Amino acid sequence: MNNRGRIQAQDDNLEESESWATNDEITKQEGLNKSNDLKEKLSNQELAERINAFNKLERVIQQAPSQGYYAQLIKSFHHNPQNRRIRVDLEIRAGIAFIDQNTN
Amino acid sequence: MANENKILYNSFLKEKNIYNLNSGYWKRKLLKNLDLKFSLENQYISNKKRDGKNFYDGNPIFSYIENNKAFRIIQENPEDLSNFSEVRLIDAWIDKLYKSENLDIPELVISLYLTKETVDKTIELIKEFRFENLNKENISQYL
Repeated sequence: MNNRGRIQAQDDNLEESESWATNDEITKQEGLNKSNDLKEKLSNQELAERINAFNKLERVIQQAPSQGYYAQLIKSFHHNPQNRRIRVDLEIRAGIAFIDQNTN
Repeated sequence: MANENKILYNSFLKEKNIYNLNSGYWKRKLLKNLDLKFSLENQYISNKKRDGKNFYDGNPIFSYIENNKAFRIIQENPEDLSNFSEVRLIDAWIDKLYKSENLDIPELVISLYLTKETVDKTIELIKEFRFENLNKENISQYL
């Protein structure tokens, strides 16, 4: 697949993720859907500890230029500066992600 | 605030010229102290958008890969904090970096507020990581 990546919620014990592997470039909306799907996998506490991290992640997705971001891109977002290991990671491993619209 | 803990390049997220100076500071420091080989291949995260514009977000401010080991430095925004005495100025963890279908390699991730002390600690952490002394289990002992 040409386009691969994942969004991952992590800390010293947690490792939950939503990934993609597709020949189509994924859109911003699909990226936001991945973020929401990941939130649904977390417990209330795990989500509460990452609300700001998800907000930062979704802002980065929404602010992508119309032609998206290209690999390799890795960003880590935290909720609380006091504990930055409790985080959400974005990894664009191959290809392109978060374009405005897929024309295929 | 002691001189060692004075925040450097305080406005790096506000002014692109300060950001670029800050980025150059990291390159000089790491090149001098760690004998790195700078090339586009070694810096595995471009931190640029598809239109070629830099993120200018410090996330990461520097990345480097060599011999199946990688490290990434995230420089945090000091303006997010009201009280530096209550926050850990440097934290670090070991993550897995995807390299190919069957290969993940260890990635040292360092998150810091930039001070002389955190730069020195970063260099120490990277040295230990490259010499195989630092791992997921013992990293807290080095912080």
